[in-house]
Amino acid sequence: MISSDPWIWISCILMLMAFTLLYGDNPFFRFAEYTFISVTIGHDIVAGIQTVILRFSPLVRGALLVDSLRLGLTFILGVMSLFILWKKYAWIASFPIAIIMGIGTGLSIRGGVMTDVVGNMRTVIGEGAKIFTASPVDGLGIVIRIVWTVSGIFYLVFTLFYKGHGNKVFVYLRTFSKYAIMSFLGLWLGNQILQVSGLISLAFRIIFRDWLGFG
Amino acid sequence: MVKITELKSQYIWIIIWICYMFTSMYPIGATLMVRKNTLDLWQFTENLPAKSIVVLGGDGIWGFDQESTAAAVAWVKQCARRGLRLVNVPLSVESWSVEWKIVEMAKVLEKDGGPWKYGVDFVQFPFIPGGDAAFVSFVNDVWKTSPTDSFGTLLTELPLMKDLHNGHDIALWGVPHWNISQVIRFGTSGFGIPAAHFAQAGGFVVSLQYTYIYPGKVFVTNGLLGGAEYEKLENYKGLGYIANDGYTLYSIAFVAFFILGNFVMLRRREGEGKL
Repeated sequence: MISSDPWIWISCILMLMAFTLLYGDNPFFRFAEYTFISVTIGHDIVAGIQTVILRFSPLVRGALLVDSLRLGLTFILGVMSLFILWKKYAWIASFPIAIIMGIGTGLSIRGGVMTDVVGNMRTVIGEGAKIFTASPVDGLGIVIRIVWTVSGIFYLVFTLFYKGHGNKVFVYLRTFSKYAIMSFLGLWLGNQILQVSGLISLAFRIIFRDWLGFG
Repeated sequence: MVKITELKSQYIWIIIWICYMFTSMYPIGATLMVRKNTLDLWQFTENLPAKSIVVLGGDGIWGFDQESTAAAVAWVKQCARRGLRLVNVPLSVESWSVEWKIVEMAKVLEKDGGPWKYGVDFVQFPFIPGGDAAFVSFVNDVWKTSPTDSFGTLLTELPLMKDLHNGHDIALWGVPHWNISQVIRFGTSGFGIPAAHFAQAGGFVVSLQYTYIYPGKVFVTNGLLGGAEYEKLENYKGLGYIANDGYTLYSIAFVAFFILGNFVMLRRREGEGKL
């Protein structure tokens, strides 16, 4: 039985409009695209306003002096950032932006290096010792991980264009590293296809089962 | 020699389309093997002591994400069944609606006939802006980072919040969004918080590295397929179950077309005298 829920109708009609892109760019697809973007922006604005109200509500509920000062300072920085819309005084906004970028960069560099770089290298070195003690399948997995990690680093970080005696070794290593990276990207692409196809299944489910009542 | 019909790409697309359409209307319940990644997370959650506080949150999302939702819904169901307590912590604007929707879909709240009472077993935080800085602030001091829940109730009025002050009180942080790096870099690395990423299939291969860096502390499920596996463990049929049927049927079709395509090519080359 066809659904009587208006939201299912809106959802499915917009979905079909979005699918028309498969035929080519057209006004139906544009309508669905603009609706989606508009709804997202509308949602973000409402969520943003609610966040500001909730964030500063303790100020009017009698917060402690320390908390009031902290929230007051945040509020002033927030107001300063709005000056970016006023060309003559846009420089005022550079202060809060600099603070945000400084904190963000400082945190990211420390966290990123410790986890993604040092952590990865530590894991590769640590796993090297397990190759011969692990089961054959796990051992093979460890070998692949080590070889692929070192190859990726070799290609991206230590790419050398040495042209002297014995340069063929570097050429072979570079070529192997290139294939290692390509195999990773292939795996990634395969999973991306898995992602899209799964979402198509769910979209078809909404259209045929929830909307049109088949099945 | 038998004349073989040309294998046009349109035929392939029609068959694939029928596979999608058929399984979306009539779920076949295709068999599924639960992989180690998913099983590890399920067992870890199963072994957490009752009343432990787990978090569903993070940032890095644009719109509603059905892929991450599949495993996350089943995980929330498991948390409720095990008597754990949940706190939703959205760190990007759209995260709020995704996390709230996941809890609603799991039907674990009292209003949906579930065991969780708002404020006692479950708390929803408002969107906390600030990206990485917001996360670091939250795990250092929850109460100062957001003095109220999403509905303006002060944390002092929520019983659950008496046991949640910083990252040391969190037993597991589930991320149904893209940015697992944030939780690993500052939560797992800094506070030793175990993390679970309900990854999109596209992000799975990138997130997987963290399970090797922090074995037994970081877990990753693989998109809708991982969702289907988690649903199987929880004995529940959700989004993953639906998608798995489609995967199975058109995977068979792909293999069939692969064989058929090669057969056609070889017969044609034979006819042209090239073999």
